[in-house]
Amino acid sequence: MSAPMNLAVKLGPLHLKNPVLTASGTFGYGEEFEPFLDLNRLGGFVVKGLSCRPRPGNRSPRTWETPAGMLNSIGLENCGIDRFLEEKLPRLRKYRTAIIANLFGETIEEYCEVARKADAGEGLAALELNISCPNTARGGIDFGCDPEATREVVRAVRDVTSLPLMVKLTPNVTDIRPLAEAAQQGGADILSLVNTFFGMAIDIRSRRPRLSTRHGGLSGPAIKPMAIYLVDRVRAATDLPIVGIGGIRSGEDAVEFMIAGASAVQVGTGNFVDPLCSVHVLEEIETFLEKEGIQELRGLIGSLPR
Amino acid sequence: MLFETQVEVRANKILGAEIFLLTLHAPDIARAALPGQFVMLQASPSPEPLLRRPMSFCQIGPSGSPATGPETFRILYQVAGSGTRLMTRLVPGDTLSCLGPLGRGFPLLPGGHPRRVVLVAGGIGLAPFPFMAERLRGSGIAWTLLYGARSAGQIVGVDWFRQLGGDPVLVTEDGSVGEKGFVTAPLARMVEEDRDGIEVYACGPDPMLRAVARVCREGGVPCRLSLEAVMPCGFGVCLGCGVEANRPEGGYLRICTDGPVFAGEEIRF
Repeated sequence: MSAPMNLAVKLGPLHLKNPVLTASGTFGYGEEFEPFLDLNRLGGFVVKGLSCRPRPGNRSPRTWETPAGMLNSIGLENCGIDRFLEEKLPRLRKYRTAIIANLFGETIEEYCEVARKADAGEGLAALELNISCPNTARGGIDFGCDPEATREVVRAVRDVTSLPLMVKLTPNVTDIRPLAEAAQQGGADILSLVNTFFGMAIDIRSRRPRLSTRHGGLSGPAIKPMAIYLVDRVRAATDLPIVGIGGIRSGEDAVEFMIAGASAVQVGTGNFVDPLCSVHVLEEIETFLEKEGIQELRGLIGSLPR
Repeated sequence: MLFETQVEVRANKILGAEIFLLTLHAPDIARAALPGQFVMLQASPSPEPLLRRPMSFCQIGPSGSPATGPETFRILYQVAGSGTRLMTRLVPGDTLSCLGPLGRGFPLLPGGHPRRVVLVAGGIGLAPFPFMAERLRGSGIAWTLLYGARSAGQIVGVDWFRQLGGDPVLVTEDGSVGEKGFVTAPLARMVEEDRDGIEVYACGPDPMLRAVARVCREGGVPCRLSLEAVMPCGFGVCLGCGVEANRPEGGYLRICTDGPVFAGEEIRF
C-alpha cells in the first residue's frame, strides 16, 4: 500500500489538511454529523451562519425541490454567537480539523460585534463572512451586491479580527469581478463562491409561491456550471485563494472546481442527500489523483489555461 | 441506532387508487424501528430526483425467526409528485440508499393510564398505524382505528387491523364506504363518551390534524399528532421543516428531529 497522499492546501493564512470543507447552512454546527462520519476526516467545516442574537428564521414552507436542485428560504435561523461559543464550540475543539464560523449581520456594527465575539472564541480556524444571503429582509445580500458596501463591511470586520477572513460572494450580480476586487481591497484573505442563486417556484393549482417568502435561493447540481463559470471569472480578477461552492457531490465535481481555480471546495446540498457526501468527495478526489498519477494536488489547482 | 445503508426492494404492490406497499430488505433498520419513526429513502436508483423522501414505517417483518429478528420493513405510499411516481416503477432487486430510523415516534405506552388509544388516520396518514396497532396489542393496550378517506378506492389495509383483533371505523367524504363525512365526527362521539379513558394518536393532512387537535383540546383528551412536511435532509440540519412552537419564546421546532410526532400542546399550527 502506498503512503497516504498529501492533500494539504494553503489558502493564504489558512492551512487545511485537505481541500474538502462543508458549506454553511448544510452542516448544522458539526455535531449533527457525528453519528455519520469522523469530522477529523474533513479539511474543515463551516457552521451555520451566526448572528449577534438568535434568530427564529422564516415561516414554513422553507424549501422546495427543483430539477437537480432545491430552493430554500430558511432565513438564517441560528442559535446566536453567544450560545455557539458557550455550548457548541467547546465540544468541537477536540477535532483536528478547521472549524470555520460563518457570520452575518444587518448592519456593519452587527457584523463587527459578531466578528469580535467570534475572534475571542478559542478554537476557530477562520471566519467566513456572509454578505450574500438572499433570504433576509435586511443585511446579507445588500452588502454583497454593491462593491462599496462590500469593501466597507469587509474592512470593518478586518479591523476587529486577526483570524483568516473568508468572504462568501453572491452570484446574484451582473458582474462578480468588482465584488471580488472590493472584498480583496477590504482585506479578505480568501473568497468563497458562490452562495445560492435567486429562484422561485409556484404551485400551479393554488397559484401561490412554493416558499413562504415568495423567493428563495437555488442550490444543488443545477447550479454547478454557473458556479464554475463564476470561479473562472473571479480567478481572472483577483489573486486571492478561492473556495469553490455549487452543486458538488462527487470527487470529480470537486476536481472540476479545482482545475478552474479553486484551492478548496465546500460541499453543500449534497450533505442533505447523503450525510456522508463530504467524505465520499474526499475519497473520490484521492482516487482520481491516484488513477491519473497526479502527485501534487497543487498541480491541479488553477491548471486551466487562463 | 441510526443506519445509512443500501436497502433492497423485495415487493412493490398496488393496494388502491395510486396507493402502494413497498417492502424493503434492511435488517438493521427494521430491528431498530419504532412506530411513528421514518426513513429518508432514495426514490429511484437514478440520481434524480435529488432529495430522498421521508417515509414512515408501516409494518415491520415478518421475522425470519425469533433469533434473527425482522429483516424487512414496509412503506405505504401514495403518488403525490414526481418522486412517488418514480417509486411506483421500483421492482424487486432494485437497491436504494436509505437513512433511518429517524425522528421521535408515538409513545409506546400512553400516558395517564387511558384504557384505550384511538388511532385517527386520514388518507395515506394510515401509514404508521399498522405498526403502532401491532405494538399496542403486544403491550396489551386496547386500541380503536378511526380511518377516513375521500372515497372507498383510497381505503386500504383494513384487513391488517382486523387480523390484529380490531374493528376499524371507516369514514369517507363521499359516503362510498362507512360513515359519510369526516373522521372527526366519530372522534367527537368517542371523546364525548369516554373523555377520561382515551388518548388520541393522529396522522393525516394538516386540516384533519387541526380538527383533531381542536376536538381533543375541547374535550380535554391528550393527543399526539404526526406531521408531514417537505423534508430535504430528515436529520435536523437543513432546518427546512419547521413548525411553530407553542411556547412563550416562540420559534420553530424541527419536524424531522423534534417530531414528526408532537403532543398537541407543543405546536401551534
